[in-house]
Amino acid sequence: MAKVGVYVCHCGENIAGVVDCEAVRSFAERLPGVTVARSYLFMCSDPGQEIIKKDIKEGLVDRVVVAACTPRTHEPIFRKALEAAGLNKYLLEMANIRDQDSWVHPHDKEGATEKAKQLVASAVAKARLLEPLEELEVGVERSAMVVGGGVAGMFASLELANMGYKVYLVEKQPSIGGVMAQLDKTFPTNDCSA
Amino acid sequence: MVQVSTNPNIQLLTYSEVEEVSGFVGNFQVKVRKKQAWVDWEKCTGCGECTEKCPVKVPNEFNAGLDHRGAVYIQFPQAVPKKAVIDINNCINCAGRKFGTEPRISKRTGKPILAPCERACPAGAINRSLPLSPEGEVLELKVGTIIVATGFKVMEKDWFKEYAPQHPDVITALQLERLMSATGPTGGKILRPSNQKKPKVISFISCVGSRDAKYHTYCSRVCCMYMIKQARIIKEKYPDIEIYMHFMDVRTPGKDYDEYYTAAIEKGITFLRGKPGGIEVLPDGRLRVMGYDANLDKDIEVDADLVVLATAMEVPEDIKQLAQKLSLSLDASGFFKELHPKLKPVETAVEGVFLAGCCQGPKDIPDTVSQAKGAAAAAAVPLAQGKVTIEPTISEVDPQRCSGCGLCVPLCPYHAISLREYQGKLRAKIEFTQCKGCGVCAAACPSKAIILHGFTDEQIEAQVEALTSCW
Amino acid sequence: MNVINVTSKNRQEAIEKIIALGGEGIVRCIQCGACASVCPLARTGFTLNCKKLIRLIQTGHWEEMIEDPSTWACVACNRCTEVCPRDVKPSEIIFAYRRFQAMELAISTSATMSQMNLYMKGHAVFSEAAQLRQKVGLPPLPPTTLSDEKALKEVQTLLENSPMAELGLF
Repeated sequence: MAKVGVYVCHCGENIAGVVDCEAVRSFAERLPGVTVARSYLFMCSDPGQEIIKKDIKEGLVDRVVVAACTPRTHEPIFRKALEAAGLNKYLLEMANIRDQDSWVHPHDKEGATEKAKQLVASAVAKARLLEPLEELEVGVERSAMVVGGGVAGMFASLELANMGYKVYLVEKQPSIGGVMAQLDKTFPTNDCSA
Repeated sequence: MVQVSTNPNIQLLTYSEVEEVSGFVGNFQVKVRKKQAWVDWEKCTGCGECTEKCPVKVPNEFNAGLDHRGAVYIQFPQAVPKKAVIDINNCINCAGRKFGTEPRISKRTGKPILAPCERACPAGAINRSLPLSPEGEVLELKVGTIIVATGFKVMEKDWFKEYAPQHPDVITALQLERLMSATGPTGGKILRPSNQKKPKVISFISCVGSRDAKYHTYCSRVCCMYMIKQARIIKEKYPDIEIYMHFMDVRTPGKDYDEYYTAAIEKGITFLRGKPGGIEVLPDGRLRVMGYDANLDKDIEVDADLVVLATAMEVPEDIKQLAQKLSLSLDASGFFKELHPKLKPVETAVEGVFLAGCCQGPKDIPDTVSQAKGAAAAAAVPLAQGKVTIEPTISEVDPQRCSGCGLCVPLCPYHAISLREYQGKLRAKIEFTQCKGCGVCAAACPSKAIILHGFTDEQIEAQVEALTSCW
Repeated sequence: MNVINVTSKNRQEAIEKIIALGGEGIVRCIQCGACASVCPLARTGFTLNCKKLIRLIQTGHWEEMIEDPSTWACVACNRCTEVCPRDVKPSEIIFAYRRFQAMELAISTSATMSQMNLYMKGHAVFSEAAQLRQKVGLPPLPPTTLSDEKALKEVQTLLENSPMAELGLF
């Protein structure tokens, strides 16, 4: 049987200002499969992650649900926490109760709290069925292509070339330089552009 | 520019366009079309003899249409590489010398009659007898990462009928840039295009096409500063020219920028807050700018000899095709969309493809350089690591359950699925490096033989059940 | 007093009112001044241009300029709407404000006259052309409400049953 830990993040006032986090936490506690439910001011902070790690290390939890912000920015952080505590990092599920809840329903606290509960219930239901997964590795061609030979393309090419990588700089005009080549002098130093 | 061309690690592929991109981070295969220059670049020395002999006159893009170039041309005097190309759509094939035809023989001299460009070239780089392909050639590259830095273009003045765009003395700021440049059509002298005389009064108008619901709602970010730059340089060179600058707001949020602006006020340049509604052409050919000064709350008129429009920066038309080739998405304003506006400003939704410069959004040179160096650092990470990890949340076929129907093969948007032999039968196989984990195949498979790891049917059904239950 | 006390209550009320009267673009105005620069009112000596009118409403000064006759001089040339970069449609805001002025009976003399003419003669603007008409062989009065009492009666009935009647001009 999976032991799911649910961690509800206040995200300062971002979530807690709208969603009743304590209500969500106590709701989560009663969900099937959930062994631990906790809430904290900032789950992504070091002490926040420590709470999760501690529960994993003590054997209370082997699947993690973090009800917080967007996985786009924060999933890697929590995955690392799982890994550091010795758990496969794909045994994590996030419920986005900020971007998809508190931010879009700032004037409906009750409704937002109910929605947060549903999102957490859904994440828990999935978490119970999560299986460990392993990443795969493949080799890399040590060269780069830069498309466009204006200021941006030239500087990017030079940087990569100076790091020792082969760079193909593709430019549709006969010459590199882009719009910059057309400019007389450039602000704020008034030096010439070429 | 010279640093770029002399760096041994950089291979310049100019007059070239990206044709096709496949593969994934660390292992992209790219087809680049080297367009037909019709001039042998191995032999061309960039001397420019051919360009002087060409009888064709077409508007010179480099000088923003202020003068003309031939059909054979070198983009600009300091071009890198300095090579000539023939603009075949405008070439009139002098002496009947279409490419790939033999020359006629002169009855008088017995020698072949060549086109002027061929005759002029001392290096023999132009040979119209060669059956060159108009398609050019396609190169195949293998690269680990890609940086997109395709830049911007400025809006043409013709859009703005209220500002008398048909009048030659109404010019865009880019055209003024060419008038101010030593390599421009006037050799750096500020002259009215209508009569080649020095203007006494110059008006600048900001936010032309920017911050305008009819064209672009965004701020182009560079116009305020480059207008002030142009005004200051003109004022320093010609203190007797009166300069009026019409701004919606003066925006100078950069290091040393506001000081640059206040110094312009001290130099006697007049700043007026208020967007002019129109320009009237006066009987003597001068231009009456119908403006407004918010600080006086009065309508004002400036009779100017030259009006400079700070037209908006916008994306080039071909950005959509490139976006398609690279599977990149565009934002509401048409620029390439970064992965996150604050935290992943150079990354894109396609791993291994990065953005730099104005193709991601309008920005000035200091910001562009910073972003380009950032993009280079980000693009170097997988190269330095020498390996890339592939997320396991991708699809896999259970060959025992697969019936080999092949339904999934054409559905895959990443061409990751093919039918391969398995125990004597054809079965679907997913190339894990190509799969992006979208799940289309798993949803479509009639035999339920495809699993999307991390999003299995059981997991998704459990989620749906939880969401639809009353707790 | 030359100091204006701005409160959010007035601002909201003013903007809501102007939107209700048809000036929904007011929230988009960034006060660039393009409308004022092309408005013929300034050239004819009227002091309140559309940019300033919009600003006064935006800051809650809804009633300050109710007696100002400038709005009534707007000829709906729509140049302001054409040059506006924010799709504010300033002329519609002027019209919205006019509706407010009319409801408060703050109507300029010229507007009052034309409304009364409309009721009495069936024409808001007309000129005495009987002689000229006869000279070219036409009857002295045109075949409109001027010579047709039944038609005039119909116009008057329509006006009496319209919101115009509430102004008490006729």
